[in-house]
Amino acid sequence: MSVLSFLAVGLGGALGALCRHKASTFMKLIFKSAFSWPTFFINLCACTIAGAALASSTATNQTFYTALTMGFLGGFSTLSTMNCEAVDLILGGERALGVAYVAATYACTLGAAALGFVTAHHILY
Amino acid sequence: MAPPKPIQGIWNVPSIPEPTKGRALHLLRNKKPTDSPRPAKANHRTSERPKGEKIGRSIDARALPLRYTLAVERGHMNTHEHNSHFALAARHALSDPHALTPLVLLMGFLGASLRYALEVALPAQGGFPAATLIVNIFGCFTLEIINQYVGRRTQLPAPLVKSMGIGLVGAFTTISAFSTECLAFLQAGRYEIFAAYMAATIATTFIAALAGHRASRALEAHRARKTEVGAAR
Repeated sequence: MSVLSFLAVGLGGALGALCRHKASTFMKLIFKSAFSWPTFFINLCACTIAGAALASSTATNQTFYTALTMGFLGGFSTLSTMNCEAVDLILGGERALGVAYVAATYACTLGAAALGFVTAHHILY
Repeated sequence: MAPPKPIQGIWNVPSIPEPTKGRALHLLRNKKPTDSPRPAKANHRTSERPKGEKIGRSIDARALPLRYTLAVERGHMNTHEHNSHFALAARHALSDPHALTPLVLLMGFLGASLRYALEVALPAQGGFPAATLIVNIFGCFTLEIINQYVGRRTQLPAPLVKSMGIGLVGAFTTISAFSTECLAFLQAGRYEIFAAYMAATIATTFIAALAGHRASRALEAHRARKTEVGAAR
């Protein structure tokens, strides 16, 4: 762990957190629903990019790869907000919606990562 | 002799008794009766908006900064175009009413570097990514405390609390690393570790968030009891 990679990860995380804040503020005005579409879409997007980055990890610079996956995508995607929204939904009485939210997030993010991986692999090799 | 009737419209103009041409033109231009009071201008800055009032198609007027609502009402921005609420939402997202941007950047830096330090300190043993799991569990618990207790019951400034939730904990926890690690296990054919990691993450992070909720309620009750005792003394 060099100082450079540490700084790169921190900068990536700062940018990712800011992007997530702006994107969720934007999407909260677009979607009017109890289902938290902003967090869902942001997580899908982050996992797709992460899958693509995993496929191309051998072809990229190691510091850049760490900054992208650990920093930017780590700051952009979030598990804590998703779980807190699910807890709010379930304790607020919408049990089915909360459970569906958690299940859809885990299933779709795994699928999105696979999709990103396959697409990047297909393009690169 | 009766006074001449007031001029009603432009058709009466030739019968004006003895005014000059300029006066006739003046009368023509001022068609409005001058003695009626001008309607009072509504003061949007102080008037109360009804809750849930919509501007455009789907944007709650109260969710937008006041200047956009005013811009729409004055006709500077058209809400009837197809994608105008996208434009409004984008403007709202890009504007920074509470100066959150620097705080979110700082907190995101801290959160991401904390997680990186933990991942370096706790490398995956036997292939099981314990660091990611610990980070996610701790983050879920902390975010629920921040949202439910710190944001509601303490005197900390709201932008600080909000940026802690978005930046510090949001950048600390991750689902992208989780899904890529799961994908790597699947590709390596290590299905038992995949299943264990998946089940552990889903169950423990949700339980951690629930525990955070309960803990913040307990903290709230403790605080209320303390202030009650203090008031009784």
